[in-house]
Amino acid sequence: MNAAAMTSFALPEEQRKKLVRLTLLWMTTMMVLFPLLASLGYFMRLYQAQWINGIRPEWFYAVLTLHGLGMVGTWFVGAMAAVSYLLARYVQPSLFVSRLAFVGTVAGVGLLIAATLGGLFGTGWYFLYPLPFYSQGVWPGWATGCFFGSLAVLGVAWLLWSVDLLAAIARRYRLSHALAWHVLRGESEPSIPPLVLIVTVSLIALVSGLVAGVIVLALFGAEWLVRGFANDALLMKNLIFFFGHIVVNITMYLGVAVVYEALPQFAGRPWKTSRVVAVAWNAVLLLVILAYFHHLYMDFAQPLALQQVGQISSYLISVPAAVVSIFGGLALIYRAPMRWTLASALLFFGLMGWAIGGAAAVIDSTVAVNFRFHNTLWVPAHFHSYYLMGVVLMLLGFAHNLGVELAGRAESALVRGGILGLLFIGGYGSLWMFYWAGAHSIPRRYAIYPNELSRGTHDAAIAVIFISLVLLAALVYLWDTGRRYLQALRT
Amino acid sequence: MNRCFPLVLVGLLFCLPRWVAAGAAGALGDEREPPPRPNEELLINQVVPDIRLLTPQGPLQLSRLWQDRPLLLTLVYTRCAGICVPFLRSLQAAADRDAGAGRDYDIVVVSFDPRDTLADLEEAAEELHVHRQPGWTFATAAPADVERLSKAVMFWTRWDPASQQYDHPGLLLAIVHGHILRVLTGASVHPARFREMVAELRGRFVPSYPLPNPRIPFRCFQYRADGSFRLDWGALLLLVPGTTALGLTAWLFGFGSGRR
Amino acid sequence: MAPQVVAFRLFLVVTAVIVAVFLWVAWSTRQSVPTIDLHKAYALRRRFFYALGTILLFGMVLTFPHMPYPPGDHPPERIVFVVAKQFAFGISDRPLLNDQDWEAATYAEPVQIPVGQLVEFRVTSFDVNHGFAVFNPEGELLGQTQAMPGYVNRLRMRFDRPGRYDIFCLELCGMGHHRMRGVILVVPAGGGPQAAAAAQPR
Repeated sequence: MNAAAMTSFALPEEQRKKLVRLTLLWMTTMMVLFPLLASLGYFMRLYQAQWINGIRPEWFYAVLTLHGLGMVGTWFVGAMAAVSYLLARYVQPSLFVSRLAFVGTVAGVGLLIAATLGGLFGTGWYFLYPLPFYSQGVWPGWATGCFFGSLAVLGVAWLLWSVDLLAAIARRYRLSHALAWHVLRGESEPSIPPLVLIVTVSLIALVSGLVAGVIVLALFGAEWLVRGFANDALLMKNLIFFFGHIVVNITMYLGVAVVYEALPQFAGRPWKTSRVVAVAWNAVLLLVILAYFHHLYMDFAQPLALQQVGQISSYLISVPAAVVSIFGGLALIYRAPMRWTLASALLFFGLMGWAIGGAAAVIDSTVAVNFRFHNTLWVPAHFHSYYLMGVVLMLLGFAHNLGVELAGRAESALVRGGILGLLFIGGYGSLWMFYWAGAHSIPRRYAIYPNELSRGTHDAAIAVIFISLVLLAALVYLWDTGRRYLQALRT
Repeated sequence: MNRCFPLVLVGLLFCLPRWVAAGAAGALGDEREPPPRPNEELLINQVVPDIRLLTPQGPLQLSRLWQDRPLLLTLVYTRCAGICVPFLRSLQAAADRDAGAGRDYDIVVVSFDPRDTLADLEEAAEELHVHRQPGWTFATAAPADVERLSKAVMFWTRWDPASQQYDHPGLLLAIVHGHILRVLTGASVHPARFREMVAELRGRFVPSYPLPNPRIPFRCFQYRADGSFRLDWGALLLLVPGTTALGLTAWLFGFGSGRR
Repeated sequence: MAPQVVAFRLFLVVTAVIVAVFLWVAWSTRQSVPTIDLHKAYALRRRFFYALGTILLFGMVLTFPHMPYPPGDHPPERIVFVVAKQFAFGISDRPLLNDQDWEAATYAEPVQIPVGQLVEFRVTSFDVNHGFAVFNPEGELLGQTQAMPGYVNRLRMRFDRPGRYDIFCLELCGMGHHRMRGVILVVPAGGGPQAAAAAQPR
């Protein structure tokens, strides 16, 4: 079933057209935001390299906040849009809700830009309590309000979207089928595409993460509005990291779902929901929720049992990823009559980025190691690995293939080679500088490095060169895919 | 004759000198190493027996004192030619500097010597210049009560007939609501350790549990001084996201699915 | 060898294997076959599962005993009080009870700790979350804990060499995050009047 072309649908033509247009809108937004937000990252590394003078450090922290939340949001909506599109082969999500989510996302991003670039709100993307209330005169109260307003709008929009997708799946599949429990018992009918299984697991977890975000916002709001009400810092940290951890990990899994669905059409082989796949993804549903404790290892007030649960579940969650998804992807491609295009290369090597980032994550999820690595540049190193060289590649692959199939224009080997070369050299080069700096104890989120940590300045200067290549790749990609989209919209 | 009898005889002959020696040691006083000092790690959060104190103002249950305020309790005796006087003087000096006795905590000096009378204790208080000072209580107790208290807090005494003196450790206990919060041992009360102890008594600086704040309605846990904890209402908030997700899923796939 | 060096080398080895496997699989498509031998593939996957499981179990067994949480076995020989507040660390032998104490501690002479003494840092914050991270004179991170308002985290360390040890903030705490620092001095055992006065047997 999933070896068919991306644009082959059993949908009425008019509905198919609307779906395609809406997806193109989402993908265009994603592709445009990518270089814009990446240039903010470029700015940060330039600042750390001390190549930018005359700008106050407050700008660094405001840009850091916009880059972080912007990128998390961009790839999240990109992943949701991609799986929504692919799910339309099997179920009927609501286009109205998707459009509503788009409007909400635009509004939320607008508020975020106002808060950060307008108000210099600079707490970092996980807005750790009570920092939003302690600006030291840098950001005004309205910027804090804008930021929380942004989160509220985005949260509501995304929660509605998630519920709608889950409802669409529920309209066709029983829960036990959607989670492939019958496959666990050895039954093969009904046949459940891995996409449906992975998206169901992901959305259940995602709802819990977004609800945690709602609770956090409510508690922040209560403290802001109700005199005499104060929050417990440990509880807030647990809630905030649960929310963030889930949103980021689910984005990753949705990207992987796209690979499960899209890669087979290039390999000429199917990727089915076997018993092992069913076991793996059901395990992920539990483990992804428990693993969030690995964000609080350095909070010694957290009970020891929870720290141990954090390490155990973080270790265990690597097993379904490595043994089932990554191994499965490798086996799918091994000696396959593979049609190598830009899209298939991005989808395939996106799995590699996920694997590398996952390895770094498992190492950092060891408490004894985290004691040395926590909040050093090792942290952005690992999440940029499975984001920039993982889910970003996967979604760019999806978006590009959509353009290729719709526009019917052949690929240029030069453009393909150029984009891949720039992305790989630039991407892995900038990652290497993060890992190298993190292994040498350079802290993350420093606008300026003191003399004792001058290696950070030096490493940032080298990273700037690699990020330039990534930016160039993003622009070339935008040009190549964008013109296909324009052509598709004209026909 | 039974074949085992010679073995039994040998065994008895082997053991007999040791029994004799042990008995002699008991009669003459123990020449071995003194028992270990009270160990704070073992005593944290242990319950202090609620013994009956005999004070110049009349009998008094120990719990009556700790109901009002945390206590700093020490065990001494007035005929002491050893550490008791330096220990009490250093305690008085540290308490004077801190100026918290009678307000943030009470200091209870209990004599473990059955020969000490209330008059002896009043004299000792006068020598320390704390007689009738608020926050200072000098008391004796019945020998059985002293023994009960000593056992609970790892305090020991050993009578030396040669010097007519008791050997014993210097001990200062911080007691909150009948539980041991801190233990300080040594020949004198060091000012820095005393400051740290009373800071904890005041609830300002306690290891690994949250500082009291009545404005916070939701916490994950309620911690205690010994590091144990129990769940608080905030922990329920951590369960809400998961239960909401499961509930919503059940509803969507159950009643709300519209599947035929 | 510092744990971060071990971890980094392990990561490099794993990454090299991952990259090699992916490139090899991609290269293999030049000689395609209609289907692969699934039995062999499943057998390989089973072996991979057992190997990965063994490595992870080994990792847990090896690293669980080295968690940095203070054990109850023996008390520290020295307690140092740390209060983090935007944007400096107050570090003192005495408890810091208010803003005045914190400010005085930020200006005071650095705390001196004798080599080899088990020190317990009692770390809290008077405002937002900070990160109390101890760096050795070579700029290597030795250990850290969060400074969280309303909580005290206990970080135990033993210093094996004298020198100046910098404290840097490792949790984003506002615009001055990058300049928030402190310092402690590790002195030879028995050395320094301040160290002698503050070090007390328990």
